[in-house]
Amino acid sequence: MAKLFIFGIGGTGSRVLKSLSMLLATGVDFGEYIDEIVPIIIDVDKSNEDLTRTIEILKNYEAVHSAVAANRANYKGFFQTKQTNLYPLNGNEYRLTIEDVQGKTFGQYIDYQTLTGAQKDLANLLFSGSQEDRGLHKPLLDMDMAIGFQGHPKLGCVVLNQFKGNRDFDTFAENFAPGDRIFIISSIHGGTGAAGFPLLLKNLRNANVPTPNSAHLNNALIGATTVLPYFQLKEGDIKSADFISKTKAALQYYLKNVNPSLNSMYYIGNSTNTHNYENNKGGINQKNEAHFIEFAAAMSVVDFANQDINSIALQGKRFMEFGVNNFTNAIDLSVLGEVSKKMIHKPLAQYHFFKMYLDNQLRKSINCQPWSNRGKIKITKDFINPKNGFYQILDTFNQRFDEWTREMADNDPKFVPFNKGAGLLHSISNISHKNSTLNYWKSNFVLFDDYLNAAERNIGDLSIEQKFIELFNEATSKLTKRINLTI
Amino acid sequence: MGTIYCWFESLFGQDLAEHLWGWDMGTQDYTKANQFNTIGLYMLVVSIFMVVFFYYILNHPRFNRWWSWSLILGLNAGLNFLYAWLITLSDLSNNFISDDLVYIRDVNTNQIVTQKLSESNCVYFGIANTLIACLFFIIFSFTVRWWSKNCSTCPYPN
Repeated sequence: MAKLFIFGIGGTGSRVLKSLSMLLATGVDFGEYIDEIVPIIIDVDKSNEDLTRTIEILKNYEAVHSAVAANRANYKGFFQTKQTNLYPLNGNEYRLTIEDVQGKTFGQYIDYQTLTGAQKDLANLLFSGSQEDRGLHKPLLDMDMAIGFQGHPKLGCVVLNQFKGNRDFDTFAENFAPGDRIFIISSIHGGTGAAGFPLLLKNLRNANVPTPNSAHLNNALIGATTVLPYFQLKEGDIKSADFISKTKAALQYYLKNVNPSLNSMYYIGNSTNTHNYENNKGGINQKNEAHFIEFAAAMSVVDFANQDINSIALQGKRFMEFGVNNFTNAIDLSVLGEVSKKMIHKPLAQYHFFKMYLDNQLRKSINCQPWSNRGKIKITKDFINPKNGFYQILDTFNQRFDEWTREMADNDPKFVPFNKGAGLLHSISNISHKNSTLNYWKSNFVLFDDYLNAAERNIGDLSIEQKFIELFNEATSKLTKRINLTI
Repeated sequence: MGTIYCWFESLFGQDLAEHLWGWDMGTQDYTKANQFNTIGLYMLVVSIFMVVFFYYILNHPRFNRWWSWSLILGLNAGLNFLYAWLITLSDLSNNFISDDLVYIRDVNTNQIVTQKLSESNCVYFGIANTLIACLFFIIFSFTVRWWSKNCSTCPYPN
């Protein structure tokens, strides 16, 4: 079994990784070729709120997985995929450190003041633009890099071109083994992602000694998602009007310099009915709402992981786009294509049912139902005490899950897979479920408790955390069958 | 079964017990049907049915609290009280009980001196049957509840 190293570059990279974590929490299957993911975030903007949220989610995912899957090699269900943090240093988790950028302007980074003659003229030519900063035009050379490249990939190209010899990059390379795969997520219209993706790819394909495992990296299976413009910005320092022209230019470049090196390339974007985000260059104010496009981009990672090792595309041969049937401004699960449905429909519905139970029924049933108070390991109210380590982590993760679904539902286009106002069995949007007399006898949370009680019979020798999650794996699976959610 | 019922003989009286054992004044022996067995069998069947009904037919996640179990226990008790009371009351009303068990008569005049059995004995026998039915309901409950999906922890967890 192999690892999938997933590079999330820039703000979009972080947000897609967040969506991916949510998908993994639902139990979306990475297939038989990948049994472990290694997220690696590349973003010089350490205080970016999108990054902060993603790191919190990744940490909580890893903690829940560790408890749920411990000593269970073939565990399937919520939080099933192992996730590893290559950079456990506190405050820097999951991040590949880009060195020598904090507290520096771009000019200081390139030692502009020490340049003379032709070198200085060249730097002036390449970086002659200016950046609007609170209404003032500031030379690019004076731009503070602590909050990223602010939509200027030409700066990112210089600063990010330090993978060779980078300590954290070497750590990644040391951990790379034959059979492992690499996936790169970036946006094409921003600064960090647009600059970092081609550079990273180049460093992987052209890696050589002394980079560890350089030969394996040269021949690695590499997939990538490049996210095309999918939102607009309100008036401000970064001009979203430039997104399309930047995208066109980058696509031209990718055609010859990027695409031929990839085993799979996924393009995704949306130019109509987009949301206007606040115009924040970075820092704690950069907190873009979760978006369906990021969710779909996360599915591309799953698709790549599931590519058959024996028939995976040669480099430069596989290019994918994403679409939905009957596009409206309120997307639900029913309009997804068959491949997407097969990938996410059931696990997403299962996790939604799990969440609904935790939010609405858990406190009423715990200590009362046999699933809770039967057997050797009893799940009591102490277990769901907010001070309980495991449950607290799960609850924090689920609060982010709520936030994620709420933000996608409020964005444009809206993604509304769930209708929380409806009864449990009717809460998957556009999935019809017929009532019968039997349904009334045991419906919604009564049926849920019935399935949980049945599941408790099949629980083997598990820890309390494992028992708790396993109960819901089984019960929610039955619920999806009950509403005929067969794929 | 009669032995179990006779634990409560002081409650419903020895005379009614004799009748239920099958005492026949004509033969001066226990030649009538032993009604303890009949009533006991009914009590067992009803109690078993009630237990099975609760744990395996009703078997409902919202009816697995102690109070719902108590409700079925009460229903079982009520049915068994009614049956035992009505059977013995019917025997008493229809003079199916040997006269020497019901009355003490004057040897010479055959006049009734004392009535030994009355309707209250039937009520007390109903109560005795209720108590025994409850006992068996509890025994059956704790015997079969483990295999119930939704009610195995009722009336209280293992």
